[in-house]
This record gives sequence, structure tokens and C-alpha cells, in this order.
Amino acid sequence: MSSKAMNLTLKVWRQTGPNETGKLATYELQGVSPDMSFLEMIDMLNARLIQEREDPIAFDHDCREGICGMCSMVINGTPHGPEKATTTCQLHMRKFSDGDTIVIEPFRADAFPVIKDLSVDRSAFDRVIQAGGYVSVKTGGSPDANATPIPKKVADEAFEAAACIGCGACVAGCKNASAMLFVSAKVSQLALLPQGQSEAATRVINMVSKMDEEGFGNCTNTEVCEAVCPKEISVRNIARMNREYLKATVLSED
Amino acid sequence: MKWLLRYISSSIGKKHVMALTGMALFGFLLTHLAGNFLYFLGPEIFNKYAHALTSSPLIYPAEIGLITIFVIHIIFAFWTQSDNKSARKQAYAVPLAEEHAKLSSSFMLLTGIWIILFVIIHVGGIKFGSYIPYDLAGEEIRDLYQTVSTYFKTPGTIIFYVVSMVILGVHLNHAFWSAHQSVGLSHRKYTPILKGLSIAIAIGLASGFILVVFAAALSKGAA
Amino acid sequence: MLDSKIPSGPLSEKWTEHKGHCKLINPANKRKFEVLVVGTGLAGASAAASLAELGYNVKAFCVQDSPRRAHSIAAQGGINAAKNYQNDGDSVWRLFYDTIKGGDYRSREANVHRLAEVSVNIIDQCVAQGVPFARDYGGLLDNRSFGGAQVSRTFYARGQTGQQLLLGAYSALSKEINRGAVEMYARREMMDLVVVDGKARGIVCRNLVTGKIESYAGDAVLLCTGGYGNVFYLSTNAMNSNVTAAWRCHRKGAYFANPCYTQIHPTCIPVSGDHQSKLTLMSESLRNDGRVWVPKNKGDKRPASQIPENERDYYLERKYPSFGNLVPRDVASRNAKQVCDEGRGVGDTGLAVYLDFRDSIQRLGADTISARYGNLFQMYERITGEDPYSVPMRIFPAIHYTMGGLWVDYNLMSNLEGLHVLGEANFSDHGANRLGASALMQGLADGYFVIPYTLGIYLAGATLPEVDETHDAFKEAVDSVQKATKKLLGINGSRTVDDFHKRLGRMVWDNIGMSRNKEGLNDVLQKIPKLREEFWSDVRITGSGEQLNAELEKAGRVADFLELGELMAQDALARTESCGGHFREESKTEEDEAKRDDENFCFVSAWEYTATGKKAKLHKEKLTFENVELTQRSYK
Repeated sequence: MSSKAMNLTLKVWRQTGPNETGKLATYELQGVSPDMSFLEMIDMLNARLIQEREDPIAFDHDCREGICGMCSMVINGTPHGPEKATTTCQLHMRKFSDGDTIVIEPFRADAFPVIKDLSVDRSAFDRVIQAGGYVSVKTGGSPDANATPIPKKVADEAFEAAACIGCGACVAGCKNASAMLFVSAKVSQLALLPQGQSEAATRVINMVSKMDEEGFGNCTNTEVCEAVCPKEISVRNIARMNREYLKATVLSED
Repeated sequence: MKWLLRYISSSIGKKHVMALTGMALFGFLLTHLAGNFLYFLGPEIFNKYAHALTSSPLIYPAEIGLITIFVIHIIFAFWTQSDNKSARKQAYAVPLAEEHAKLSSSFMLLTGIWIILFVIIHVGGIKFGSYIPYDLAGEEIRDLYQTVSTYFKTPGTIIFYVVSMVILGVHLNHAFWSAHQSVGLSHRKYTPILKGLSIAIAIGLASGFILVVFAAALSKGAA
Repeated sequence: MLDSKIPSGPLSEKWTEHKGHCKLINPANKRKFEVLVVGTGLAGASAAASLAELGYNVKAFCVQDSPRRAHSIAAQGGINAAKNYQNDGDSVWRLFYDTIKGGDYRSREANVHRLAEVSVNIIDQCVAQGVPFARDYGGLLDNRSFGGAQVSRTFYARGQTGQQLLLGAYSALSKEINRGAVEMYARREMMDLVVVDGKARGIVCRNLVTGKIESYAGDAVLLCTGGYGNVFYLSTNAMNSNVTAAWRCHRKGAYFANPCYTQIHPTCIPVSGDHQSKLTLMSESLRNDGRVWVPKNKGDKRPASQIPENERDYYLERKYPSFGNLVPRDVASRNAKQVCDEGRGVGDTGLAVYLDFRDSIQRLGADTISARYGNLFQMYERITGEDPYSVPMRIFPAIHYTMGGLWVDYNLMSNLEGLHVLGEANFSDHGANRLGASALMQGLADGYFVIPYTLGIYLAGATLPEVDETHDAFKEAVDSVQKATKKLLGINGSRTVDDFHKRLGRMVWDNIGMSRNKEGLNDVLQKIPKLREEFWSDVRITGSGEQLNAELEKAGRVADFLELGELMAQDALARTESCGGHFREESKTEEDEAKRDDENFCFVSAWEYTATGKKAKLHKEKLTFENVELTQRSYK
């Protein structure tokens, strides 16, 4: 419940377009309620900027309940901010204190070019999925859903990988801007389930090759991706992808 | 062979190469340390061992193999590093907070470079170091025991070696479990143990080497 | 009277017969047809993928940065299907019957039966795609009972069923994009429908990154753009959910059906202040173990722990002894509003009631409660900063789903030929109230299993002369969109878009929300046009039209909400009965419950746009019930 309003100093990355150079702009914001979400705090700043006839800060957001994966922002050096397992939209201002300085930057990676201010283009993720993140079944003619039992443990493990919301925090938080956690979550989900078996080899080869082509960095096992992931996707998935890749390349006869 | 080229130039292929060459180098370190421990058994055994090793017909292929693995490990390290640098050309204004907390992985390249320099100095100082003859039942062989004992009498060398071994430990601490992860060996039950083992191995190996350095420093050999 | 084109024959054979006798298109000819799919949620993504698989050329558009982010993703609870895996007597008929009854007899029998029939195929399809549904220890699919249903027919994936189903549809869509069968256009907002010779032949979009107004011609347009809940400003919908695409089609001649049917969900986290931008839903499963109460006395501001048992009013248990806290959504919501109106609401704002787990924790232990609701408790604590294990939760109703939408016939085609409407954007299957776990079912049924057949019927029979983007109709549409953009940017007034949106939302919530009356509706019919006028003369939008400009996007959407709000009021005023989510205070039983008027209102209200500010014209579609008997709901 509401307590005292806070005054904050915000340093926000402002960049007018993809090819422009950006810089941090400083704003003093008064009267921030601890009950506000982080994005509502940005809304408040934007309302003021509009009143002052300035361009409001562009940022991506949609569901504001932590599931669509559209919100981003690196807050004081951490993607989605300081609260563990929480997206920016679910982060609340009570996690900050009166007088704090907060630095807000976009998710940075060459594969995620800045569109404007804090908004970045994450379509590279879509292209990686398009390279093979699916089971090639057509609509209709599928066997009865209970025709193939799947052990609960396997189904649960697949679910945990499938919980990825594709926000890109793993890339943003990794010093190498590596997308291994994102890609491995999808590879794992489908490698675990019987439905994904027939395409397992081509899937991992094509997705990894697309991932490399998009310019993401390599994994150096820092495990920061797991630490900043709002859905706490495990790096076990990365190991599984490494294994799948070994199977599909060196150990395969093709 | 086109597949091989594609494989090793892929991000995961590079990781595999790093992991496998790293594991091979780790194996070499273990045998090296085992050999070093013979120092405690006195000049005769130590020198006999060194002689057997260097006079074996397999020594050149083995050395070429070792150097090749070492060079591949280094080349892939720099290759990966250059990929990673170009993946984020515009740096963050505030350093990534989580990365800060994870030192040894961020230091892999720096510790690796140190180790390269160390290896050059080490090989120059010991392998190509002073030749002192040793009489083994009438046969003249190299008195490596004496070379080592003499070598570790200067404080600068001792400090350099101790620091280098600590750095090697830091490198290994991340490398050991990381290599398993890279080739896909991850397990809910065993990975946490493996991580603990990594620390133990890093400390064990570094202190093992340091122990021999100290033993040599304190030995009665000519100063 | 509107013709819904329901096939003849017995209810259970209509769909099979219809499919079996419809005209087919030669596979070689399918690629000659260009289909435009707007929106990539469950309905849009599944339709785009399925049509591409059949051989059509598909272009898909979404407003988000990726099709994976459509708001279907936020659905928590589950998806119904008449599989009867639990051997508890479920059947297509029962799912049909429950849906018709739950919709308070304001939906079409034939549509609902078809929905129940294809529900079983949806589960098969999703499992084949790799959707990780919950399973039991034997490895088979698990089900739960949801929303008061007497059978366990709800399939789920923890609390993220919508996400997993959407990612399944997104993967199918990605597969077709990779094959080159679908061209995907993200960050595009549909600004207008292009109609040539009375047929929908294309759309005009704004590229949200560059601001460019783009034209796309096609042989059919599929609108899968979701509901209009954001007219309330505060809703559980995503921030970018809007009515613009549907409303622009309405302005081009498509009828808007039953706009006053909106669903209010009882268990949302209450508003904490003026800064609030969005409401968060918590699964209504919480009512299985939580007890709803408020203080007996007005203005009792003591903390919950200091209010003794005899001064608490467990009003749902008191008024509905047999259903207690598990009364349907609309009843629970209305009662919460009533006690708050009486001044007995809790929290700073007085707009909340308690949902108390104290007794359950005492009875079952905190561990059991945590195992059942741990993630929800965590979410609640994250948002409110309060620990629901020690302090009762505060909840309040919020708008959640809109049953109304563009009118469509049995083939999902609107009265505008070529314009098909799927998912929440249409009005067809839920009547005046939607059952829990049925939204996901309908979106996927429309996209995977209905439109692949019914679109063919239209395309096989229509005469479609060559039309491309150079046609005059496109030029006119682009021109009018550009003019509107220019006008908005030129107002340069003093208030933000959000300011207008908030005021509109408040008017709609107060007068066309949980309960409606003649006086309030007449009042709001005066106020909304005034607000609209003020908007068009005093809104301030910064920046230009040639860049990413969120304010401009919002302004266009709010401009449409300002027209929709008026239509909702008009519809609510005309329907003097109460039914489902539409509660007219003038039409209630002696027990204060909703009272239908089947004699006079057993029809769909489909409104035709005339002009902004002018009354819309009413068309009726008579609802006939040949298979079920109309009864009055009672939960006493």
C-alpha cells in the first residue's frame, strides 16, 4: 500500500533513430509512488515530457503482466532490473529508494539494433525460430493427443524450457551478447518431446547456423543469462543443445 | 570434409574444440604434476624419469601434438573473443552488474594470455635452461633436479611462478566444469558436484605445483 | 433480418454436411489467391499457418514486434475440449450445452455446436506441435474442472496455457514463413479496409517504425484483432490491444454486433492509484479456497486482522448459500461492486473486497495453499507488496473479455463480402457471457478448423477481378489515413491522449460496466460525444508521423474508442433486458438477479455505421433454439 512518494534522478538513453548516435539524458522526477510499476514511472515521465513539448521516451511494452516478453530495458546494468525472475513491467518502484539515480539503457547487441531510445529490433529471434523452431506438422490429421504418453518428468522439463518469453534479456545480460539460452530453450523443448524427434538433427543445425548468422556472440558459460532470465530458464538447456549439436554433426552419418 | 569446416566455424563447434583441447591440456597438466612430484623422491629418480621422457622416440610426436593442441586452444580462444567483441560494438554506459559478480569467466582471456607468457618463460627457463651433467651409473644424463633447484632460488622467479599458478587455478576453476557444459555433459545431480570439484581441482593443481616450487626453493642445491 | 447462413439438417450433422458439400478449390489454383490476415494471436496465427499449408498466398500483419507477443499469450487457466479423457461423462453435447447456457442463450446453436465438435481436434493438433500440456504420472494428459464446470475438460499448461498455445500457433506460422508461404509484417497497424465493388480487397497499414502508410491488396481479409476491452482504459488487456482495425471495418460497412456484451472478471488486483495503467488478473481458482468478505459497517478502516468475526460480512456465502464463493463471474463481480457502492469497500481507495485465505491456511496448512496457489500469491505480492499468507488479498473486478464484435455468418464472414472475422474480434460463440477456458478454444477453432473450409467457400464462389495497390480505392484510403494523421498531429492542444482515454474509461466503467440503467446510459450518451469533440480540439501529440510515435498510435486508437463507447451505450440502452454480462438494473428478478426477456430480445443486435455522432442503424438476427430449452439461471 502507498507510502511516501519518492524523488528520483533518471538517466535515460535517448537515440532518435537506428543510425544516430545516442546519449544519456538526465531527468529529475518528483512524486513517484512506490506502488507504481517501473513502466508506469516512465509513463509519468512521458506525460511530463509531452506537457513540456518534448519527445516522450520510446520503449516497448504490451501485456504489462510479465508474459508477452515485449518490455525490455537494462536498469542499472541489469536487464529487467534488480528483482529476480521479474520483467520490467512487473518491477515496482518500492524496490527503489528516495534519492536514487537510475540508469536506463536499451538491450544492447548488434543483433538487436536500436529503433529509437529504449526500443530495439528483436526480429533476429523470430528468424532463428523460423529456421527450425517447430514440428513440421500440418493442421488436421494429427493422431489422438493421448496416443503417445510422455513421462510427466519429461513433459515438465519440456515445459520449463518452453516457458521462455523471447524477451532477449539473456542476450542483453551476456557480456558476449550470446543468444544460446533463447535458442537452446526451443531446441530443448522439442528435443525432449517425442513429437520433435524426427527433425531434431536438422533443427539444431539450422537454428544454430541462423543464430550465428544473425551476429550473436558465443557462449562462455558465465551463466549470467540464467541469472537475469525473468522465467529462470536453466543453462542445462544450453548443455542439451551442445549435446544435440554434437549428435547432429560429428556423430551423424550425414 | 566440408561439414567439418562448417562445424568448427560454428559457435558451438568452436566451443567443442575449446573444450576438447582444454581437456587434453588438463590431462597434460596432471601428468606434468605427477612427474613434478618425483622431485620429492630425490635427484636419482627425478633425473631418471626426466631422461626416460626426453630420450623416448615418442617425445617429438608428443611435443608436436601438445604444441598443436595448445595453439589450437589459443587460436579458438581469440577467434571466439573476436566474435564476441563484434556482437556488441556499442558498450553499456553502466557495466553489466551480473557479469561483475562472475570473475573467472570474464578473466579467461586475460588468464589465458598470462599462461601463454608463463609457458614461454617456463620452457625457456627449465627445458632450455642450464645443462648440468648427472652421473647415472656411468651414463651421463641431464641433472634436471639440480637445474630446478637452482632455478627457484631467485625471489622474482618464485613470486612469478606462484602468481602464475594462482592464475592457472583461476583459469581451471572456470574451465573444468565449463568444458563439460560445452560438450553437453550436464546433469541435475552431478553438475553441482562437478562445480565443487572444479574449485577443488583448481586449488589442488595450483598448490601442487606451488609445493614443488617451494620444495625447490628450500632445497640444499647450490645457490 | 440478417441471414446467418446456418446449414439445414440436424444440429450434430450441420458442420459435417456443410464441409462435405462445400465447393473446393483446385490445389493449383489456391496459390492464385492472396489472403491478408490481420493479427497473429491464436486465431490469426493458426489461420495464417493453416491457409498457407493449403496453398494460399498469405500475408500476415501484427502490431507487436513479433507475432509471438499477441495478447492470447496472457491467458492463464486453460482450454476446454470435449475429450472425455477423465471418463466423467463429458461429451460434445455437454460442452455445447454448457456454452449455450453459460452464454445466457444469446449465441447461435449451430456455431456453438461446431465449436464443441472441433474442440477435440485442437488438442490433438497442439500436442502434435509440441505444446507441453500438463500430464499425469502415467504420461497422459491431465485435466481440471474450471469455472464451475461439472466435468474436468480443461487442458492446461500450468498457469501459462495461452502462452503455450500461442507459441504452438506461432511455430506453425514460423514454419510457413520459412517455406515462403506466409509473408510476415510485424509492427504494422491496420488503418483502413479497402473495399472494391462491395468486396473487401485489401488493407492500408501504418508501418509503426517508419510511419509509412502501406497498401496491401488481396482476395480476402481475415480480421483476427481481438477484443475492445481497452475502451475501459483500465483492463486486463495488453496496452496495445485496440478496436481500431475492427472499427475501421465497421466504418466501411461491417456490422458491429452486441457491443454491450462485456465480461468483468471478479478476481483482479485492485487499482492502487491514478498512475495505474493496467490491471492484472488472477486465476479465479483462488475462489476455491479464499473467502470473500467486507466489513459489516460502512467506512470501517481498521486493518483486516482487527475486525472481529462478527463484524465481517461474507456476503457471497450469506446470499448464495449453495454456491457461496464460487458463484459465476458476473454474479461475483456485481456483488463486489454493490458492497463497495455501499461504502464498505476496503483498502485506500475503498474499491476492493477481501479474499481471505486465513481459514484455509488453518484447515489445510500454508504448504498446501502454497502448492495450489504459490505462483499467484507471489504475483500478488510482487504487485502490491503485501503477503497474502498473513494479510487477506484485496480483489476487485476488471474488464477482461468482450463477447461482442463484428457480426459474422456461420462461415465467419461479415456482411461485407470477403471480410472474415475470427476469434475475440467476432461476436459469434459466447453469447452474452463467456465460460472460463473457452476463449482459447474459440480462437483456435476458428483459425485451425473453421476458416480453412469456409474461406474456400467464399473464394470458390466469388467473382474477383484483378485489383492491385494502384487501384483508386487504395489511393483514397491512403489519402484519408494521411489526412487523419495530419489532423491529429496538427491539433497541438493541451491534454495527453492518456488523459482522454482515462476519462472515457471512467465513463464507460461507471455507466456501461457491471450494471447499467437507462439514466446512466442516456447520460453517457451525452458525455461521450462531448469528450470526443474535446479530444479532436485539445489533444496534444508530439513528434511526427514519419517515425516511431507511440502517442500518435494511441491517439488513433482512442479516437476509435471514443466512437465505440457511444455505440456500446446505444446498444446497452436498446437492450432493456438483462443477460449474461449485460445487467440492466431495470430488469432483475425479485432476488436481484439478471432477468432475461426472451420474448423480446432473443436476437443479435448488429449495428450499421451511419456517421460519427449519428445513431447507428440496428439490424437484428433472430436466435432460434431448436435443441435446448431456455431457462433462467439461479445460484441460490
